Amino acid sequence: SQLSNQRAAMPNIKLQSSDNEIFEVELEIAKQSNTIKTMLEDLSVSDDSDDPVPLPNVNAAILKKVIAWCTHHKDDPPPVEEDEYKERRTDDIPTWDLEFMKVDQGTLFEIILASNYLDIKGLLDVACKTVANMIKGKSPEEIRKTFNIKCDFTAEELEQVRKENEWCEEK
Amino acid sequence: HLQLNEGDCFIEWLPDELLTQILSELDQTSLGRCAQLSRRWQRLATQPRLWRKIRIGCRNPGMTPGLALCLSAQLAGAVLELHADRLAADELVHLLSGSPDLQSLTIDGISGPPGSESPLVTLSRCCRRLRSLRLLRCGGLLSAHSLAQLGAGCPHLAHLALDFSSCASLGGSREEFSTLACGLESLSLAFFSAHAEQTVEHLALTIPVCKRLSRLSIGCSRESVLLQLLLRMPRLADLTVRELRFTDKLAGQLVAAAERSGGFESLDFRSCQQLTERGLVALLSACPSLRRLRLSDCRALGGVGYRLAAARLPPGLEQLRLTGWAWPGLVEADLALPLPRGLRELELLLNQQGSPAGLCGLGLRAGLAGCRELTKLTLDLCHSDLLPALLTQLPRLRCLRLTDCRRLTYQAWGLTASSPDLHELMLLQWSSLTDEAVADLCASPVARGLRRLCLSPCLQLTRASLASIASSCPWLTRLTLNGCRRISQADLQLAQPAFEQRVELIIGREAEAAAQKLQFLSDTELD
Repeated sequence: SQLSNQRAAMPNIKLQSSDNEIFEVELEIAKQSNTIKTMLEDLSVSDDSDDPVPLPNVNAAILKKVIAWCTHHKDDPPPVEEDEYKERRTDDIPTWDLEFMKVDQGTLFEIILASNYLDIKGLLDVACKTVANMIKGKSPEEIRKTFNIKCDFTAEELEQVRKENEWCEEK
Repeated sequence: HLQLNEGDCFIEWLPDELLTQILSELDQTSLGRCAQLSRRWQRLATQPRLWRKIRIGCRNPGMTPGLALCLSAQLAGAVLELHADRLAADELVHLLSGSPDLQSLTIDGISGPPGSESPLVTLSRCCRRLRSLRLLRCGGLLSAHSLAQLGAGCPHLAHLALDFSSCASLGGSREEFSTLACGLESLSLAFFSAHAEQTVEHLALTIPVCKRLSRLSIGCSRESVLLQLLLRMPRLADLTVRELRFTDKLAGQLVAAAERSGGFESLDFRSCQQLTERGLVALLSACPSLRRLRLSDCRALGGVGYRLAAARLPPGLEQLRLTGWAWPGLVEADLALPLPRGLRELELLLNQQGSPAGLCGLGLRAGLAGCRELTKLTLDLCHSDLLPALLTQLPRLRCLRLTDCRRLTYQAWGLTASSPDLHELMLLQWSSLTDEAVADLCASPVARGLRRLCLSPCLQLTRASLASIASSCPWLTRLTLNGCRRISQADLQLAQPAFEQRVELIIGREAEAAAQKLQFLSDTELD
């Protein structure tokens, strides 16, 4: 019962999306965004203030996704400062996150932009890894097709750039 | 995510900085392919900072003469880690002279005639920041001259690893090697042949006191050699020894060394037939900060040894691997003794099932009750009641390998009500492995998050199994089916759309090798 009391006492804040929808979120969940955390500190907005925090770069649909991710990950240990040269791995994404990222490309890239703007490292990392996994193992033509990337090389340039990068192919 | 409307190109919404972050998650093969997409992608994918770590080999189709010179110019000295796979000496020399910030180098063989300069001399001339050097199949490369140059030119060299062929020439340059070894933090030497045995003995006698050395991995079979080395490495904390029999006398010396240095953090011995309970207990008591322990072939220990050891395993132990021959007298109650709470990886390959009184591992339910951090578990003990229990009580388990599933029945999957987010599952010697058994596995909560699945023996499996797997394991990237005759790559092509990622199907000989690898891993794995 002590736990439920704590939960009840947990302060909430309001977030306002670019299309003026208001979301009420537990403060601790919202603070996974360093941008929001800094706003609250800088503007010395008091925790019990009723004014919503405006987020002009994030629409309601994406903000809803972001809040869902932060809610699921609220008890995660804080992200460790990663060694820059540490082996990068994209095959260790939690299954919940894989399922969460199973969205159309418009949403996926909006999540990347939003998590960058809101400065939520864990979400940005997992979204970037998701895109990296969509690239891995594919030929250049398959990658172009996956993302609708337009090739603006001339035929000669394309042959040249293919040759220049042949050495990168392992085995 | 794959459905796009004509003309939609959402990825181009991203600013350079975010596309670069995505590119930084890629391996060099994918990066090279991204450079071929468009002008913008070429500009971003060729940023030197994405190419800190490269691997380059002579068997590569793109490895044309002169490439090394081009790369040196293109990468503008960004390379920090280089793996050179049988490059021609001159090509390697070009790469090294264009990599002034290089920190880590692996040379795996040199092809073609000797170049204008020995790569090691170039290294000491151009790569002053080198911290780590690994030489594999580099018989003629190490000479008294090149060792002396390395010592002078690479003052930060801290980690040196030599395979047996690269070690062979050390005999003639003991003094130079000793000077170099003085400043090292880690040293790995693989000596195998009888000839090399003498070399290592001489080295052990000439090597000076290595004040900074904390990590030693060595293949030697004479206790006297190791004892000499221990005396000269006062800060040694991490020791791996192959070929040498672990005796109580050696344990006693290690205890003395541990008392001088404050205790070992990691111990790895491959042949422990003569280690008794007394020796093990003394050693464990002297190493309160032990984090990794690996002992194989502990025939003399038995149940009593296990009981005594389990009670003395330090609370901070993260990795425990006990492999090899039967521990006589080991009973389920021994396995029920609590293992350290911080354990992340446990490997118990006890070869018990061959004997009539073989264990089934049920004791581990209690033994692992407190190990909530465990992520990797490898066992040759199995029981249909053990599996669901483990899956319920180990919330962080990601990789489960059961190498002897003869006692695994279909019931196990029905009993499995919950599962951690398991990414890798290996089930070997599963004698009742049928399409129905695979369907049961797939219907259990284990299947959903699997990335890698390895099953053996798959003689009875048909396409029906592939269909079960495809509908239940959407995130699979590798499927290994040992002994499989009735499922082909073509079947996988048909099933591929059901998976989110491209799946690699390994059948035939490679699958057999993959399934057997684990059992041999404990004996022959090299650094």
